[in-house]
Amino acid sequence: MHNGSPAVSVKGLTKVFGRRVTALDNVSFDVPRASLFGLLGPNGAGKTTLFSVAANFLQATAGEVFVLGINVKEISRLRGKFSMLPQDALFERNVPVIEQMITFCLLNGQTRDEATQSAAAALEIVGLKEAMDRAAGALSHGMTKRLALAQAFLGTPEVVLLDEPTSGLDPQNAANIRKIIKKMSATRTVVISSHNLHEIQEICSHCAILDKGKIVACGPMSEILGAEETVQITYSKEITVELIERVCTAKSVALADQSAARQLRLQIDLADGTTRDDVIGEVLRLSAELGFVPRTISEGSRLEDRFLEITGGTGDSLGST
Amino acid sequence: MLGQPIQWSHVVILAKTYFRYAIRGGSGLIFLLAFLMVGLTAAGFLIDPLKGQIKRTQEDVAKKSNNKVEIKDKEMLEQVAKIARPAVVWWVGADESKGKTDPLVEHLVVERPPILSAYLLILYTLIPFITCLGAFNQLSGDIGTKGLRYLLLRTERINVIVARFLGTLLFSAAVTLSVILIVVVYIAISFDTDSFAALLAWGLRGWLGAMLLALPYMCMCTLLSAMLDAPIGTLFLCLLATAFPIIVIKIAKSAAGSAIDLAWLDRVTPWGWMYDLLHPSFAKVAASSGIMLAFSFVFAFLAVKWFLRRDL
Repeated sequence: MHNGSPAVSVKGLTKVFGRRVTALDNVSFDVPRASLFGLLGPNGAGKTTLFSVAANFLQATAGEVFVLGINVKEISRLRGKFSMLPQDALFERNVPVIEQMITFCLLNGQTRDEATQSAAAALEIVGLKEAMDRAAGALSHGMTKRLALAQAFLGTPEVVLLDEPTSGLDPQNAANIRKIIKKMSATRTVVISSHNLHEIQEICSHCAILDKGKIVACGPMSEILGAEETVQITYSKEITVELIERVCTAKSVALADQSAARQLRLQIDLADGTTRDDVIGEVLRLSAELGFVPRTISEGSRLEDRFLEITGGTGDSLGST
Repeated sequence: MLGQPIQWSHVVILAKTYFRYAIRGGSGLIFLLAFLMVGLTAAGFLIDPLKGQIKRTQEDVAKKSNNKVEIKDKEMLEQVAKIARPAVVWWVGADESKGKTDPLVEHLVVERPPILSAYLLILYTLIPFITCLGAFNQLSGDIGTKGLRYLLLRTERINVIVARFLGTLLFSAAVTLSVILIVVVYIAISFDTDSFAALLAWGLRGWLGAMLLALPYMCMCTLLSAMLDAPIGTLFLCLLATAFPIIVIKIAKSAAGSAIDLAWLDRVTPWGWMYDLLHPSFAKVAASSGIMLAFSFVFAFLAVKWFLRRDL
């Protein structure tokens, strides 16, 4: 298989529930290999449906999903190479955690000894070694999430889908899981859907935004955020109209507006012979003349702003579907 | 035909796990307790009155002869057969009027251990319903909780449904065999009518028949379990689908009376063929077994087709 081929390729995917509800509408995008790919969308956008079709839990109405070049309808050909953390799937309540993990490893093609070792190692990574003999039904919500994460990274999967891995968790558990994901994603392609846009912006190299069953933005994170064209400057005091007007006089500043009380957003359209550093330097000089002292400077929009801009939402609807 | 090849290594892994943890799961435990309770209670209801009747007969004979006489072996066997025969005739719906003898009744009461035969008849009547208790939750619970998704990431759907069915069949076979063996030992201890070997042989034959009878109902449960997400709803539908045709046929036959012969209606469901599984005629046993397998195949085929296509 060609190394440049995408890890996941979604082609013309449509999923209609019943006769009326179109959860996915001709969705197409590629997930590059070895990327940490964020999938975002408001409630009802179709994120979980997309993951479920990609894992062959749901049958697509039209279109196909390929993982590592293999159609997911032949899921057994992806044995050991592809894994997922389903959002709301429960483990067998009465079966010990370690036994369930061993069963998964055996199905991945490992021997009993290998399976026992892999299962124990995976549970240790997520901090569940002490609970390995307990029935899954006896675990807390946070422990169950960690168990789900452990099964997703069992063995050496090349592609892992994580559907809301930190939803419903307290900050400490969520932070633990983020740490584990970062560590485990170093050598794999990971596609993650999350409520936490800041988290996605921080850790993901690529991103797609799904709205009403359609892909409305997709590409490298820097492209989505407009890092080449946008600069945000946070000041020590509230932005004034005078500051905005003054900054707009700077060469190559196409637009300046207030993105938060103390935050100024600049759209840069570089003129010939001008660099971004020149523009930012000029803006800072003009600001200083008016007594505005910068606190932070960041390139690109915040993901949350871009998300709301693209989906036209208010931010209340961030969630999973 | 099914679109996916079965990976038997996966089936073995999944079936072993399912069988191993069947008792720890709620439905497996319910099935075990229900089968033990119903199976052993039925044995108690059958055997205790018989023991009392034989004791009274012994006392009557003793009174008449002014001696303490014990009836043994052949005499006791005759006594038991005499008591059991009318019940068996009624149970299987045989016609022994005007001096006729029914070969099935003759086989059950005279040629085979009669008490065990009577017990098997009761057990066969209960088997379809008890089977529902053991087989209703093969898939629906895990479809509802989406627990199957962890397996579907690692194996094909066909392996899951085949493994769940085999696990259920094995568990059901083990429990049924245990209950029949307990009853065989109980009868051997309580009565001095038949050798233990004869009882054991007839018990094992009865067990095989019971499993053949259970098979179509188990497959029907597999189908309903693959279609529905809620275990309780599945149980209700399994019991309804088992009982409804039997009740309708009984009512239809009763309403028709002797005016129309609706005896053929009995043969529309597996229920109507069950006593033939104990028949002395090989042809009848083969035919009833074939019917059981045919019903099973149809239900299993539909179950697999549905499960492979549905959203999970």
